[in-house]
Formats: sequence, structure tokens, C-alpha cells
Amino acid sequence: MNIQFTLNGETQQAECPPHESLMALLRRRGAWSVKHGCETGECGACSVLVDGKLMPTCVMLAGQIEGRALVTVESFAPDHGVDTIQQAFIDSGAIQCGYCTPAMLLATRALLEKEQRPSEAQVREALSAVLCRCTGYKKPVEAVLRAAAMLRGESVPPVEGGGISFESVFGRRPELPDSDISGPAPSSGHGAPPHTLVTFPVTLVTPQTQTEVVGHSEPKVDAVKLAKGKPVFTDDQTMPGLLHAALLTSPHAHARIRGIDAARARALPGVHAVLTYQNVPRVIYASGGQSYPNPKPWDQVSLDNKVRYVGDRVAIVAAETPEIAREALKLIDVDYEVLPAVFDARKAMQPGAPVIHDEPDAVQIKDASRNLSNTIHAEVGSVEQGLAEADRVFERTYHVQQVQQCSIEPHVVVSWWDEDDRLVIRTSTQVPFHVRRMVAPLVGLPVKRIRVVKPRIGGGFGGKQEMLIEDLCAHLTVATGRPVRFEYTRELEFTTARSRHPQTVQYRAGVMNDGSIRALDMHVLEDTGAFATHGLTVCSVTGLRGLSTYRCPNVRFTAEIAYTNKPVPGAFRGYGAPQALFALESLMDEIAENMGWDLTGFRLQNAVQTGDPLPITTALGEGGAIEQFVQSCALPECIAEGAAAISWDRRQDPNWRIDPARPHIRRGLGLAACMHGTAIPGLDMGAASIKMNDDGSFNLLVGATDLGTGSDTVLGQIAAETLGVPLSDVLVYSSDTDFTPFDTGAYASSTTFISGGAVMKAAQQVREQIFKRAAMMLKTTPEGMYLRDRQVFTADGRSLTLGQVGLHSLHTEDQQQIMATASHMSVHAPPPFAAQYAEVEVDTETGEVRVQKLVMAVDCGTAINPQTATGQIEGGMTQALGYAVSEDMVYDDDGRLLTTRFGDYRIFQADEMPEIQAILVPTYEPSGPFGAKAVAEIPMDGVAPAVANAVFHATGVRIYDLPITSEKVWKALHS
Amino acid sequence: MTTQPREYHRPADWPSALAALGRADGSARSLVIPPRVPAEPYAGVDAVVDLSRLDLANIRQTNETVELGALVPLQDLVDAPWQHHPALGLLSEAAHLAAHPGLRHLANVGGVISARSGPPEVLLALLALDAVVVLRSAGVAERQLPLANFLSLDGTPPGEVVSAVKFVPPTAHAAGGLARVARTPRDEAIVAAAAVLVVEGGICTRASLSLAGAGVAPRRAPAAEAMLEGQALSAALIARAAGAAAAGLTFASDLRGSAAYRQAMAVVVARRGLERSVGAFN
Repeated sequence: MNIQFTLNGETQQAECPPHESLMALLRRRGAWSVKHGCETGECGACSVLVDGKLMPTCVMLAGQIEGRALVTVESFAPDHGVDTIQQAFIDSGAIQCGYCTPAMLLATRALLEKEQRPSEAQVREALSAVLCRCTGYKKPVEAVLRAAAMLRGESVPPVEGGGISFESVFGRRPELPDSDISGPAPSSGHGAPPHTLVTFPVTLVTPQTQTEVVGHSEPKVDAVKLAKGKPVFTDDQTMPGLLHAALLTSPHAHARIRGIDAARARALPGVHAVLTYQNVPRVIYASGGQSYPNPKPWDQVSLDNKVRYVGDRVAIVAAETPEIAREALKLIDVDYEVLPAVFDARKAMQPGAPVIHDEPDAVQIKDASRNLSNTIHAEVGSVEQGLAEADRVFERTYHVQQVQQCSIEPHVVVSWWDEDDRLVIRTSTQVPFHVRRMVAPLVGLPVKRIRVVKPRIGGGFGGKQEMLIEDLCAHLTVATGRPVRFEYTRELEFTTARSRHPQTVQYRAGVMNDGSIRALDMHVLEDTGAFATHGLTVCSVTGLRGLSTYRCPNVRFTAEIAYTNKPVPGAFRGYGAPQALFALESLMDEIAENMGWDLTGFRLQNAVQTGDPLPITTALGEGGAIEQFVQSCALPECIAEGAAAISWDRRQDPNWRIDPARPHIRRGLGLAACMHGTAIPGLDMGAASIKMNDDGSFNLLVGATDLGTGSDTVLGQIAAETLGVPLSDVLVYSSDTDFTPFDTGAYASSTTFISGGAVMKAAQQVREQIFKRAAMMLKTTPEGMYLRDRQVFTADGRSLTLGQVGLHSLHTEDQQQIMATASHMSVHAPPPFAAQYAEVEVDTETGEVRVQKLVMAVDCGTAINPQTATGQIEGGMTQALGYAVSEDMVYDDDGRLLTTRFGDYRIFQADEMPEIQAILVPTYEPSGPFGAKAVAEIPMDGVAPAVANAVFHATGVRIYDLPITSEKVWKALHS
Repeated sequence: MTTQPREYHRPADWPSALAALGRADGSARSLVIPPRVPAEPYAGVDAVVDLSRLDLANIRQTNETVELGALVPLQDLVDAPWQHHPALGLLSEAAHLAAHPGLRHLANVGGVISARSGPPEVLLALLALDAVVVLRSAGVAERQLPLANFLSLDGTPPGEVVSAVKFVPPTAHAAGGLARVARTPRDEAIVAAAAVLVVEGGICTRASLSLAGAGVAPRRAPAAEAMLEGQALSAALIARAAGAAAAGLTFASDLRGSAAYRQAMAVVVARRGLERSVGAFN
């Protein structure tokens, strides 16, 4: 059919099939800002303005736009530059991964064309058309209000974040004009660490009293292209001869495939390949994107003759169009021998349970006959003796549910043979280097014949720390010789991607009447679904986080990790910590309440402090037995600042807790103290290369993977600060296994700390080369030189521009590329600390819990970029809020997932959010670049227990089972 | 069976539309969009019929009737001039809860009526307003069917098309109230109720109450209504009526909640719906 419409003011004629969606048509015509996030219109990422009204295009047929006027973000500032709305989003830090940004910008335009002075409620209403999993909506709301003010011609305040005061943060005013100063030694609270502390010297680049780039809320280096909807994501390209893949998944939770007949599918015109276990090599692997060698067991193959959950892989098809590929799936005849299935981890370990992994070639399953993937045992001191000595013993059991990462960009990959007959894999991944290494044996190619390219990522949250679909796409390219594109639908994201491990956490805590903790015994039963992948390491982190926040001489962690016939959990922001912290902080609250102790006082009395060892780290560290110490800690300050922000003193006010106008409502406040980790000590490594250009600018090449967090910006800031240039002079590129140095990837809260360390080292080496070159040019020595304002200064006050230095080194004399590559790993995993507070209202008639406010005060060391750091906190708290009260993967009795669309799974949208407040409490972490620690994951940890504790405060009812649904609260209230 | 439409019709008049829709195998479908769009909305549909040229996207209001064309977007109900009316405001509030703004611009009244599943509030409000469904079919003058009757059918009768929904505007003595229980403030309701009461001289002269939840499609609660009509409203009477409304309903369990919880909450939302109606008089 032929349709006519206008797109961004230009008349368009389009020939399209009757079934074509408007989203497909627009992307086919180059409107790459229109993003695919779902197929039901619920995420809104595909929205455009149709006759001035925002509409999701994935659920519209192209024919519906006949004669109508469409607007996409491509029209906002078609040439260079950005328009006012885009600028406001950039300035406000409202863009994280940027995948939903074009739709948010359009929602903003539609609102502001109607309402010049919108209220916050109107802004939230407008933005509720677009789901965002990154920001928590706080900064987008601020951006819209800012844009409205700018469009009204009003002046707007500058973005907050004015650099780091050396005096306040680093402890003393630097002596001028030395090039380096040392960071303060860790205080000796409970004895200094017995080993040598690896510290970064604070790089002084200016005879000022504060940093000029680090500590500033610099706009993200990728913000402009994201705001303009540029084609920067994996799927934003087209290739000649591109084939489309579709996956046939299992309808059974457990079945053996007796045979597959794909003849009819292969005969369908347009089908180029149908792959099954019959024609793909059987190579055992584990799909978790982790360092070599991947933790065992290895229990997967690309395509198997057995299926172990509803949604498991059966066959993969490549065809000329997505429609033909989907049609071909229906023509594949699979003969299943349906087997008994088990969906409960405890039942799975019982005698007689169906054996999920009976294949003989699986590697190092702990006890396949009991569906036991792994066990963990770690003990410090004697827990039994400690419990015997305790004045009171508390024993509680908690259950945490399976939840999904819900990145708005689904998993998507495109693979092809390049002109050198090398396999190129362009993929939305957090771990490009792991993907390259892990795909190689599966497709039978050496690593050197594979190149993995990671463009921008539309959110990951751990879900893309997996070699999840790259192998299938690669198999198809190998089989067909053609470029192949493979993208999950939203339903596949829920059924066949990864999720958070459900766990049952049991604690026994022995406390003394003086308020000290004598023993902590923690047991976890973890459900790892059909495959082990991250099961062991996630559970280890649960033990680490559950047993290191509080000082205790006797701690023990035991765990069983069991297979079930359910979709597979994997990495998800927090990685075992949210499970642990819900249990731990609920328990601490209950102990204090029972013992009549002050909730904050009890926690602070026992919480680790600067200088304390973390003994359990020796027993549970993934990177080896490396004992960790606390070298910076502002937990007391976090608790105090958070308490002030939430008005904690209202807790005792009966007039506040009960609303006379709504007698069925009870109000409550809750607290959780949090401690997380930063990177995996002894294991994570990042590298960076920096080269200087003719004009004094620099290319920074990093293997690190910015999945929307702003890490490219943070790394650029570290380089810029060290090299005395503005951030705009550092051109950041990440990541491509051919062109950037190795990095383990974006996980474990490691990028700022590990990759940032590499950047800092590389920048310091480049700086030394600049000094030498300047010394040659000025016929002096490098001593006393420093970099500032794009210049190198000598001790006697002479200077050269970096452009002069660059030209000289590349063209004039003794030519040399000023360039350095450095790598960094650390034996330290400095813990960030936080206090999280929740204010709730509980409807005692229905059990509904409505969170009114969330506050999080965080000690993440130095915030390299306060705006991106608070963005991480706000977004993380929002994800954690869903974990606390609503998100859950719900199954029927046959193991079939029921929550397979956004509307049913339900993540929070802009107009139903509580007030959220992020507070940065600066410390200086000596092992981190510029004193930085991690910030990305800790926001996930404390919301659920804070809400649970607030519900208890409001109602006297404790919920031990996430999520805290209205039904659970109602039942508890009426039991 | 095809998996996707092979034909797209945009008829200029009703005869053409009805001809296009009148396939014997039922494989043609009018292009009305519900707020909860299925992942494969056109599975099994051979031809879609776009009714956008048939003037169905308007709200027509007179003293005697309010007519909502089948293609009236839900957002138009939200923005309607009556949004603050004590009784009709119920419909605006219900439409607001149906979906996010983007989907509300797209989804329409016909989609709500035809789909029946999904967020129940608009249907509950229309039931409480005594709406009727206007059906068109080839060779037959349009006919009207009470919404409650329409919803009791298996689907839109073969050969017929929903062209509009009508109801009599509530009097000045009417007020409405909506109540629901949900996982989050904007989530699809676990159970919901809508009420419209007419109170004159202190006496409830007309009561309509509708309820829905998994396993219980939107429906009126005649027993509760009968208890209220002709009575002076009191908290105790409203509570008894709410109990009567929930009695005998057989809810189902689903991903949002159990049947038992719905059963208990049905009483609460019925009572609150009625209470909010009473409150709207003040």
C-alpha cells in the first residue's frame, strides 16, 4: 500500500506492506531516534508526535498515519547543535543511557507547546508516557522545568557541582606548585592494615585550591548525540544482505527433544538457515560474562537436545525478513518427551526430584543428582560458640524474589564477516572482551578472528554481563555467510534473558546485652534456575555483604545453590547484595526493636569503621584470599544527614503517624545502613590508552563499557584533570576489542575505580612525556613543571601550549607519538557506605504501601562527577523501590512466566514516583583515583529493608518476603 | 491462518466499511485500539479496516445524551470539559487510569468496549453511567444494546461494528466515585469499583455500582443498588451494600493477587466507591 504523510515537515510517500508497524517504517526510513523497547506500546521508547500528540509507534500500523504530520527528534536541531529542550536535558543530567531520551524530548515538546508554565505534576504526567530504567525520573523532571523556564526567557541556575576543594577533601592545602601531593593516610581506627597500601597520588594540575574537571558536573561526553537521537546503538544501522533471526523456545519446563524436523521451515522461501542441536557443535560453556576461567560449573551448550525451562532455546532461524523468520518457527516440528519438572529450590534437592542436568559432559556440577550446582562454606571464629555465649539469639528467615533488569533496549546483536574474513559482532554488551573470548570456542574460531564492537548501550544493569545471544547470531553468520541481526522481543527479555536470583536467607544472630553482636550465622538457599552461570559468585557476594557490615567475631556463611526448571538468573545490579541487605537490615531493625535499643545507635555501635578488617572477605573473595580493610568510611555522617533529610524525629510523633482525615492510613519511617564493594580485588583489570594529537587534544581509548552510567565521562574527567585540559579536549572511545585495550567490563562497581585507575596511570605517563618534550623545547628540565589551562608551565614561569607540544612531537624534532597505555588492578575493594531512609503510608484496610519519600546519603569517596553520581543513586533507588514493593516474576503451576510484558511486570513510571533525594557525603578513599569509590550498585541495597522497616513502624507488621505487596501486608495485618 | 494483515482498508462510508468487515470467515477487524494492546494484535487477522474516515472520533453532548464515537481517544475523555463534574468526572478519572498518555492518545473507546480485558475502570464508569453500545451492521439500522448486555456476549456479534457508546448525562444531583486497589498507583487494578449516586432531598433516588477484578468481568451490583435506592444514605447502609455487592462474586487468582484477597478487597472498594460518591456531593 502507498501512504502519504509528513515527517518533520517534509512530505513523504511510502510504500509499505499492510502489516508494517509505524516503528518499522520510520526506522526503515532512517528515523533512528525511534527506539524499540517492547511490542505493546507500554515503554514508549518508540513514541513520536502524531499531529502534535505523543503516540507509541510499535502498536500502530503504518497505514494509520495517512495524511498525518509526524515529528521525531531528528527535527529538533537538524544540523549541528541542540535546541533548548535538548540543552536542558543535557545540562540537567537527564540523559543516562539515552535510549528513551528521544521519546522523553518529544513528550516534553508536546507538553511545553500546550503549557508554558507546567507544574511538576504536569511534567510527571507527560513523562509517564515513557519508561526510564536509568534515571528515576528526577533529573528528567528537572530538565523539563528547566527547559520551560529557558523557553520563557528566564535565567536558569548553573548546574551544581563545583569541583573538589583540596583543603576540605584531601585534608590539607597543597603546596604550590609541586606536581603531586599525597593523599592522607587512612586513620588507624582499629589498627592500620598490615599490608602495603596502594594509593594514588593526588594529581595536582593547577596552583588552585580545587580541581577543575574532577568533582564537576560535566555534561556527559555522549549526551549530545544521545539527545539528537543519533544512530549510536547496536541496531541503528542497516547492512546489505542483512538477515533476521528468530528463536524457537521451549513450551515445556523440562523435556527431552527426541527429534526436530526443520525441513518445512528450511523450505520456506526466504529462510537461509535453521540451526538446532543437530547441526551446531556441542561445546560446553558457562554464559556468565566473567574472567577466565569462567566459574564452574559449565553446564550449557548453544543448542541442546534437552530443554530445562519454558523459554529455553530450541532452534534459531535466519531469514530475509523478521516476518519470514517468525513464520519459519511455526514450521519446525519438535518431538518432545515431556519430563517432570521442579520449580522450588528446596524440592529440587530432595531425593526423587527430576534431575535437570543429567548430561554427561557438564563440568563440575557439585551434585547433579540432587540438582545442586554449588555449595559454599566459610567461617571466621566459632559461630556455635558465639551463639552459645550470646545473651539473646534471634533466628529469622527471609525470602527475596526473582526480578528482571528491564533495560529498555533489549538484547540485540548484529554479526557479519568483514573484508578480512573475520567475524564482527556488534552487540549491546557490558563485557565485549569476555564475549570475544567466550564466543570463539563455540563457533570454532580463534579469538584473533573475532572482533566485538560495543556501541552505546540502552541500559544493562547486569543483564548484559552475559554472553547471552551473541553465540546464536554468530552461528547463523557462520552458517549463512550473511550479516545477521538478532534482537529479543520484550517477552523473550522476560522469559529467556537473565534476572536476579531468588533466595531464602536464614540468619541466626547472637547479641549481647551491651549491644554488641557476638555471632552471625547466615545460610542461603539460592535458586539458579536451569543453568548455573552467575549462581556461585552472586551467592558469594550475598555472604560477603551479609556478614561484613557489622563487626562480629564469629561469622559463618553456608549456601546451597540449586537448579530448578525456571528461567535463569544472572547478574543484576547489586549482585547478591540486595538479597543480603534486605535480610540483614530487617534483622538489625528487629533486634534493636526487641532489645529496646536505638535503631541508629545499635547500627553505629556495631558497624565497621575506618581501619577495621573485613575478615569474611578472605574466605569468600572471588579474586582469592585477599583480606579487605575499611580505609574510608562516613557511615555515621550518612546516617545523620539522611536522618535530617527524612525528618527522622517525626518517628516518635503520634500526630504525624496517624492522619485524622484518613483514619485507615498509618505513616512510618524506616532505615537501612548499607555497605557495598568496589570491584573484585585481585581479579578485575582495566586498561586505557591515551595519545596526544597535533592540537594538544587527546584520544582516550578504553575497554571499559559505559552502559549509560556516564563512565566514559568520568574516565574522560580523570584524564582531563590529570592532563590540565577541559573535558572537551579528551575524546573518549569505548569499546572495541580491535582498537581499545582490555577491560574486564562494566560490572562489580568497578569502572571508576579500576578503569579510572588505568586512565589516571596512562594520563600520568603521558604527562611525563609532555614534560620531557617541553623540556626539550624550552631547553630546561622537567622538574617543577605542571599542566594547566591547556598549557605546560615550567618552574620559572615559562609556558607552552599543548598544541605547540603536540606539533613539535609529531612533526618538528625527534618525532614521537606522545602516548601511553596503562592497566590497573587492585587488591583493594573499598566499600562505599550509605544510609537509606523510607517514608511510607500504609492503608490498613487494603494493605497498600505507598512510599512517600526515599532518601539516600552515600559515601562514595570522591564523586568524580556529582551529577552522574546522583543520577546513579536516583535511578538505583527507583529500581530498588520496584524490588521492594511491586516487581516479581510470577509463574503458573507449569513454570510458565506470567509477567511477560511491562504492563504486567510493572516498573515505576514518572507520575507514581515518591520524592527521592540523593545526598553525597564525600570522603577520600586512598586506593581510588582522586579518592573515588563505587556508587552504581549500593543504591539497590537498602530501599527494600528501609521500606520493610517503615511498614513495621507504621503498622507493627513485619514482612519477611519481598515484594511487600498489599496482599501480604493485609494478610499480616489481619492474621 | 495468516499471522499478519494482508489488506488495509480505509473506507469512506459505512457500506464500504461493513462490506470490508463482513467476511464470512471473520478474518477482518476494525482498527480500534484498546489501552492494553496485545503483543501480536493482528494475529489471525487478514484485513484491517481503518474507520478513521467515518467521523467516529468525536464526543457529542446534548442535554439528552452524551455520545462517544468508537474512535474517541481515551485522552479526550481525560481532557473533556466535564473532567471536574461530580459525576462525569468519574469517566475522566477512569480514562486517566487506563494507560499512560501515549497509549491514551492512541487507544479509543471502541478499543475498550471491544477488548473487554485490561484496565477495567472505563468500563466500570460507563456501566455506572448506564451506557448503551451502538452497533452498526449491513442492511440494518443501528441498534443499541445496554453495555451490561453487550459485555455478557462472547464478543461483538458477527457482522456488527461498535460505532459509539451513549449515555444520558447525569443530573445535577448525581455524583460519582471510583476506588481501586493496585500494586502501584498507576498499575492495573487488582480490584476496582465505580459508583454513581443520585441523592435528592437526602434520599438516594438512584444508585449504580459496578465492580471488576480477575475472574469477574465488569458488572453491575444490582443487589447493592437496590439496598441503597429509596434510602437515606448512612455509613452503615453503605457498608452493608458494599458487602452485598461483593457477595456471590467468584474472583480468580492471577499475577496481581489471589482470589481471596480480591474477595476481601471487593467489599472495601465498593464501599469506598460509594463513599467517594457521597463525598463528591460535599
